Amino acid sequence: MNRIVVDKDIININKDSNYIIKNHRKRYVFNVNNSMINVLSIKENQDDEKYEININGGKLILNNICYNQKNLDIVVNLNSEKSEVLIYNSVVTDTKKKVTIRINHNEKNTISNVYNNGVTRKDGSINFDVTSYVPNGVKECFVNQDSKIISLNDKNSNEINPILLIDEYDVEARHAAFIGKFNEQELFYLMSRGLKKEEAENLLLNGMLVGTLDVCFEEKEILKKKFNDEWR
Amino acid sequence: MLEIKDLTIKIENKIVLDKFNLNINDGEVHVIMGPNGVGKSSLTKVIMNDPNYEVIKGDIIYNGVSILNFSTDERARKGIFLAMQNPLEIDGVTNSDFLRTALSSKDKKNVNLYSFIKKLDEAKEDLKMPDEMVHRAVNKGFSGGEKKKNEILQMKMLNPSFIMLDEIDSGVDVDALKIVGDNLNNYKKENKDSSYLIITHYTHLLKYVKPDVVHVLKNGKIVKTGDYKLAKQIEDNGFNFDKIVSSANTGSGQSE
Repeated sequence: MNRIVVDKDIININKDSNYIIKNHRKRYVFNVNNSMINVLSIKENQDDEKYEININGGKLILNNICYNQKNLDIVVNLNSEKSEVLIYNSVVTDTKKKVTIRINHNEKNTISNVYNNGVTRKDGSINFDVTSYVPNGVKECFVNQDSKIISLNDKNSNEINPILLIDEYDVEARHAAFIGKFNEQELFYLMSRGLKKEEAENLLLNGMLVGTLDVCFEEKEILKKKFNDEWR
Repeated sequence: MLEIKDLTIKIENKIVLDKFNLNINDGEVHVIMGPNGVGKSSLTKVIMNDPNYEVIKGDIIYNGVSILNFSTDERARKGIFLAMQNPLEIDGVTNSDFLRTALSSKDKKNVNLYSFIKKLDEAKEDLKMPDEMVHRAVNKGFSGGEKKKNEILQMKMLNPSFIMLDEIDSGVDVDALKIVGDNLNNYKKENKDSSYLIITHYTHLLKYVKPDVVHVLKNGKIVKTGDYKLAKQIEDNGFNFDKIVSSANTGSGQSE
């Protein structure tokens, strides 16, 4: 997948394209007009970051992988019919991390999917704050939030707030939240094929953080390698 | 190959196997039948060291060594394999990643990518599985039959010597069952010393894989042992043991 490197704060997009964010800025604005966009952003030890995404028709997929980033703030406005946003957040952290996502369904027949996957280590803790807002009269929207935190330390300070603010009856909405350890039966299944516990955990982590992303095969392999070699 | 001595196990304060004894020699196929909930699956899980089960007494000896202190993965690397009744779906982990990691930790070195892909292609072809399954997540979106086929695929890739098949024939259609049966037979021919412990409710699979011994398990103990005929009788008459005993005594083979 050839990606265009993002080199400014405000990006106006009118045709289908793929982007990668390398040099990080404090704030990004994406204005999407009737096109399909796939964005990949890899962050390591970054400061706070803010995204404002306005979709006026079309679809934006945001793949976020962050390691030890402080705060992440994403606001999405779905401004016209059949606009769609898909957000994958994969977070590994040794420190305190807060992710705030706000999705505004401003027009009827719009779709939002948010998947947050987090792993805490050492002194790390994660706070996923996801709010989806559908005002009265905005019909036929689809709203989905899915957040999962695997805690590899013994801290108990993780938090997920899956908030659905929906003021309309004609909406399909779901939310899911999970905080805990790895599923014992999944580990047993993998280990019963000869994988050591550590390898099985690595595989599950990779699956959760990289396997779920909407990026191409080569990029997944690179991310997995980075994850195993540098971030583990 | 495997010897189980006076094994007593419990799960959540309930004793499921009580002073259980079983001896499987090299190259033998043993079948365990029995009503639901008598501890058939528990037996396979405890041999594989499922953390939910606790061994209170007894011993499991594999190739002359007690394996009770070995962890699940160590047992697997020694050549014990369990095809599970309900194979789990694992999100995000692809079949090829999973098998490659499993093989490299078994052989204690990185697998040669070319020979790995070749082997996987052959196994996939033998089992008539779709090409794209390699890069799909483990068992994710597979039908019941495909999941069972995937277990056999893993078996073929990992080359174990003691194989436990827990209801591998349930949820599998007749054509798929034939494929599974043929693959097991071929595997057995290629690996003459391999031993099998098959758990089943029907004789369908046994038409392809001929058992040497059939056991009937009830209340955590083996209550009857016989050969293929016993399995046939159970299929015809159920687990009504008086009937089985009486028909065996009169030496009748009416059921056939």
